[in-house]
Amino acid sequence: MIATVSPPTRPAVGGALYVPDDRARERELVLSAQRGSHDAFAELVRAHQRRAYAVARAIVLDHHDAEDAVQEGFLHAYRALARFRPGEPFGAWLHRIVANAALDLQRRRKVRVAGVLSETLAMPFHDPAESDELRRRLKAALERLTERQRSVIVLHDVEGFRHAEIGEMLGIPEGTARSDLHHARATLRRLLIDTRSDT
Amino acid sequence: MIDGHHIEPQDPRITAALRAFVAPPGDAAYWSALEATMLARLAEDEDWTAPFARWTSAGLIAAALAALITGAALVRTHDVEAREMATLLETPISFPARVAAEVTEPGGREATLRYVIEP
Repeated sequence: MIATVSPPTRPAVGGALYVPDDRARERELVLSAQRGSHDAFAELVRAHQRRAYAVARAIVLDHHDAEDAVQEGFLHAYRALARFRPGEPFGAWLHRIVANAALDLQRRRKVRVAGVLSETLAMPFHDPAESDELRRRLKAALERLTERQRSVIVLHDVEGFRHAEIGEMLGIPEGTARSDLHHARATLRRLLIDTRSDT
Repeated sequence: MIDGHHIEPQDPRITAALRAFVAPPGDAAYWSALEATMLARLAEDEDWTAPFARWTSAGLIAAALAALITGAALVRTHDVEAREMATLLETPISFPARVAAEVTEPGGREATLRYVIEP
């Protein structure tokens, strides 16, 4: 049975929506959620869902897959909440769970679709001002990277995660994350500059 | 091998293109809807797992009770056995000769002896 949950439009626990940097508030929310408060968990969802989406999107690249991974990630986090130590940063813990959910999803997808980037890449939220041609070239260039290189360059250059954080999320050594970033940047630069010079 | 000092520098144009490529939806209604979907899934998940959680609790209580009853029974049995043993030790043995005779199997031994010494 699907419970009826109306879309929350205001913070459920106390005053204004907390920002993830507010560690004291975060700890308070985590403790409440661990005691069974759905409102507290809802506020954690609200505060972290965009960043969680960004992590998932960097790994799966497809919008709908990213959405699925975020939902799976939050579900896993909710089930595992009792094991979370409130003193730790909730965001880092959540990102690892979401990244794992995204990696699982990617592995399942790979069985069905042999490593080709989905045509739905970001299309539902296409910026009209953006050049379709650039998108096409970028998509083609991204297809030349390994999945891990794509994830690393998006997580680092777009989302601003550090190498150590990326390593933890993707389950790879920090040095591998650095190496992947180097190769991803070099490949994209070579392919996109070549393309620009061709036209 | 890449070390921290020799990573290909970031190209701002490529980063900008990537950012646009993976941009999350900016519409607040989208996030409210996603949040609502997630919370509904959590509620659904709880509904589904709640009976198991109750069964788990009931099972744990039953197991604890069973362990207590078994423990008490074992203690009681041990007491009874100890009392029986004490009673047995205090009772004088009245048939030592018979026991000794049975243990030595006299028939077999005598037959062997006769076989050896007879001419």
